[in-house]
Amino acid sequence: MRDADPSTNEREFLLAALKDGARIDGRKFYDFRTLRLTFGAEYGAVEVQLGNTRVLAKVSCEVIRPYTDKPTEGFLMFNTELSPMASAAFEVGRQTDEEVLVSRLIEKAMRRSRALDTEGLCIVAGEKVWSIRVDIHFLDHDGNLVDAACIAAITALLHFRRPDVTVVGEDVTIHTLEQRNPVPLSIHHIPICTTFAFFNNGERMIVDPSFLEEQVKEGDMTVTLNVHKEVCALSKAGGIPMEIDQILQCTKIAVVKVAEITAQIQAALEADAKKR
Amino acid sequence: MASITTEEESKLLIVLPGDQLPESGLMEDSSAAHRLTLGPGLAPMDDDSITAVKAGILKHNAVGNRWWVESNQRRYVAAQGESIIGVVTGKSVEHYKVDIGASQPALLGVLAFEGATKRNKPNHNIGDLLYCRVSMANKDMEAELECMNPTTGKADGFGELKGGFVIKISLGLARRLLDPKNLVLRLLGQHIPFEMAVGTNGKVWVNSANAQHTILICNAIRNSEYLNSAECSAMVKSLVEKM
Amino acid sequence: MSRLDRTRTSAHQLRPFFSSQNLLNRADGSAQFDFGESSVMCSVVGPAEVKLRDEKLDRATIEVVVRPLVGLPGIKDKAREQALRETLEPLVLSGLHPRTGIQIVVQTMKDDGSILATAFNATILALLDAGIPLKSILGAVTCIVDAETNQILLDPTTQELANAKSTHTFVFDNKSSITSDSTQEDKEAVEVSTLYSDSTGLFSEEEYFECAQICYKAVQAVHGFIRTAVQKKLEKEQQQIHS
Repeated sequence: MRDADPSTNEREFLLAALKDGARIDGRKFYDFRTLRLTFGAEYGAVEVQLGNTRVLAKVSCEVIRPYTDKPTEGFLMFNTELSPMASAAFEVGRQTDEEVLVSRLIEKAMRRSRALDTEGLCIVAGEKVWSIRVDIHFLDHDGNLVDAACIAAITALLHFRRPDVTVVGEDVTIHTLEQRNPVPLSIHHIPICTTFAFFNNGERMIVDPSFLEEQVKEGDMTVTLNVHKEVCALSKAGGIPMEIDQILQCTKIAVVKVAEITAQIQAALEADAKKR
Repeated sequence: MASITTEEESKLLIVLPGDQLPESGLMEDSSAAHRLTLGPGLAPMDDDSITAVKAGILKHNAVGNRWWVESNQRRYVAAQGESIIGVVTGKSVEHYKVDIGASQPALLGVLAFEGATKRNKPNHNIGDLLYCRVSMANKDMEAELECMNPTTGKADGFGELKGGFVIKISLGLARRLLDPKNLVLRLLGQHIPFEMAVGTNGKVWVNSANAQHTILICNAIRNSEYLNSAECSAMVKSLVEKM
Repeated sequence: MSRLDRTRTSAHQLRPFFSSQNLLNRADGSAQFDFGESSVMCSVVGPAEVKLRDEKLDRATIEVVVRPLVGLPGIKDKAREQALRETLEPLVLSGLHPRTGIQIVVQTMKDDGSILATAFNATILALLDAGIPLKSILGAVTCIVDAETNQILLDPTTQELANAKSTHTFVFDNKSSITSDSTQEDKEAVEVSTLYSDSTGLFSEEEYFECAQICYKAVQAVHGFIRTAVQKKLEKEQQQIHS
């Protein structure tokens, strides 16, 4: 079932309001919606709410044999299948363009930016490595799935603890959670995506578009940065052409947003650690 | 004979699917001539019992001995005589196809407007917002719409809604907005002049002098769903103060 | 007697319930149901448009999608889809909405055993939230026969399931009748039927019927909980009118 297009009234009102300096949900142009992070009792599970957009990330791990050409490297895998729970427009078993874009972006932001130390996942070189799997479940789609999924994935990875192991010669012992405290993953940096949407021939740009804003937008761009002001990924797939200055401006805005979000993630993780 | 009391009772009588209503309670007097009318949410079952099929509040109207369940949902199911807001999604020689949020698009005859003739009829485009009346609805066919009062042939406010903004709310909240005593609308009206159209399909159209006001009104309506009177007053007050 | 789940003192004790309805804004109905640290979210869309090849001329098509917490959907999830669909098909009055589709998506949020029972309870709450017409509500509970002690443990955790000799999941409907002097409390239960029963492992006939009895008793608590949850939501919606 396809999503219904917005009416002309909604479209025109949204654009007129943006010209007037207002967004339809009362936000300022460069405001994210309220971000809420909820952890479960288990390690590595987090539910992210970005306004009405909801994403659940769950990290799990298993021991597998590494590739022969990379004997010391562990695995990091993402599952970003779009669930029909988020929107009836997402069908089971049929990959939409949107799904490919979301999954590529997450992949670029997290894996290719080397956020996780995959060498640190090695148990016995050439024999046993950890494979870390991140399942991202989209529960409710009210726009900007990418940013929400990215926050969910990195927060879940930061929250996750894998079982401790001891290696004596060839023997590998995996300790249960009761025997030994599990160990956190070694994470180099925290990449955070900031998505911009463009309107009025690219003159107006906003952060964290809602679903209606996404339906009306002329183009978008996602900037992935970490708190050290390093660009991890930059993605602009089509849409209206942009000025170079504008890209720089987006990056500058993203720097501020990334600092805020990173601080919130860390505060949430600390609060959760205290409860345990 | 004891009968089920609803309105008289201060406590709401809430029913869930599977709750059976005893016949003795339904019939006010036991004469066989007395008729019983079942509304939404109630259905006769195979075993001849009358059973609730939706979760909601059991309601009764002594006139015609009507019984129904007042429930809430978000998906619209077209019902004859209701006023709804739809979006034009297609047009052919005889009909407009209108999305009314139901399982299938509804049909609106190109001549179902006030004073429309073959030579002189309004022209609507895809994406236009229309306030219409459901002229025919049943479970097996697409619903049919009209943009006029069928008895007088006058527009009576039906037709295209120009400008403004639309929000989607639950059907229960839409029905409550149609209550002339509705609190949130009265409170908003004290501060901001605005016009609105409420579709029983959960679509609400709002228009006011400027965008900020319209946004505020839409937010206030959305927020009012689960608030009591005091909370509602406080919510509107805080929104108006922030303006 | 002691359980592996240290939070509980008795074998027939269920974990604390939690539920929440109308959580998702894109679905027509949604709910979350928890048995302790097992949690399932369910969304319902419909009666909505249905693909032509799935269309049924006399009733609604019910589609169930079960999504695991970890990994891609497998055989276990397909089996759960089938269990849910075949249990719900006779319960939903699908004849009221011919040529439409009702899509139910079930997502495990936290897994600490008894997921199928949790999923059943989440689904019924989501269907009630969506206002899908139903013949009755249902309630589900899982129990195991412990391999060492031969004791029947209700609502087992993942840890307890590992020690199970056999596992049994039961789903019962809940039809009740509002008596003449109706108050909320004295609804008489009329014949209750088993809607679904699934057993795995080695067990005797005696054990099976004992499990059924114990689960039946436990389900009453689930039914009561569902009723209270729906009641609270309705009262909240209505508080502006009836206060």
